[in-house]
Amino acid sequence: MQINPGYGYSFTSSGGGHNLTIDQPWFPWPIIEEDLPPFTIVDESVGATYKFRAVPGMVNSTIPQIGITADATKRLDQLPIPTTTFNFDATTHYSYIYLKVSWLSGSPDMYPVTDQTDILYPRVISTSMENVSTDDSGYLLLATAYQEPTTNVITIWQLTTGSQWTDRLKTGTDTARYYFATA
Amino acid sequence: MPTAPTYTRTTTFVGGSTGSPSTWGALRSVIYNRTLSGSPIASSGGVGGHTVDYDHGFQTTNGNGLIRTEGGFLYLGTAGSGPNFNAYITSGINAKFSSDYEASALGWITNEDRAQLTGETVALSSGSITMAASAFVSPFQTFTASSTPTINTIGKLTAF
Repeated sequence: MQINPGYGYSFTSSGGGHNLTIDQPWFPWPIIEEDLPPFTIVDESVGATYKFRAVPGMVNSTIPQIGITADATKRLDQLPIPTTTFNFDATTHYSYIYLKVSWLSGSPDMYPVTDQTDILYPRVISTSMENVSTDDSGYLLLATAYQEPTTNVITIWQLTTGSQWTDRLKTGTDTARYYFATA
Repeated sequence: MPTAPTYTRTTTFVGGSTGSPSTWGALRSVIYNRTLSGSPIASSGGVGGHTVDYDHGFQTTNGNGLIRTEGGFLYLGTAGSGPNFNAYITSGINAKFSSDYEASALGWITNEDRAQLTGETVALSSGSITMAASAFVSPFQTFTASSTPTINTIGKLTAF
């Protein structure tokens, strides 16, 4: 048997034996997020702290933040992986997890808002009630979550996944309408 | 007869390049009401911002009146010709009802929508007419009017 030279290793032989030397170890290996579709909601609850994360995705090529504050470290692709708290209704025990995309009036208008320091930047939020789109914000329901009131076990129903493309159209005095399509 | 405005397709879409977006909203538009003055697009409606406010046009009672077209604001990138209806005096009491900038077989309003709209009652500021297929093809539908008309309704479509 003969081993020929190749890229990334060397091979030597002598009377004492054979040596295979890897020139440059392929390390560290990249850490790849689990193979879940964008905007999959994952329970990250620890003890009595009930929180979740969202697999990174895009809306109009913008990666949203998670939670209700403008915080660049809460962008979905940041490390450590950002989370936010479930907001359950005290009676129904349900939470509604939305992709919220807002509009900013200006010259020109901006939709979605691309300034990460602006609370209007796209974000994944949890609310205790269903949201209705307004002139200012459109809501895409990503998932619902239910917390069993005695065991506190959380069940998540994922309703839609995938990066999104969205348009905002307003006619006259009617409330603006928002159209989402999986990118 | 109004002059067709010019437009350029500058909409940026997924991937950052320019061309023809294919999203639901980008391929829909209200039908402009050219009997009203001013641009149908609100001055705050931003080009390329994936958002548009229509100041006037036609919409249904229970919907938004958006029709499928490649003449929408988000598609064109600017307020171009777009799907529209117009009514105007040509001379004396002679008037025309038209969907401007259309061709016989291709235009901002699809053949399917043209077929549905033909035969609808068009309520004008004074009197009414029944829309004919000729409204979509130059030299357009003729009627008589004592003064410059505005369009109030077209079948289920109401001016806003």
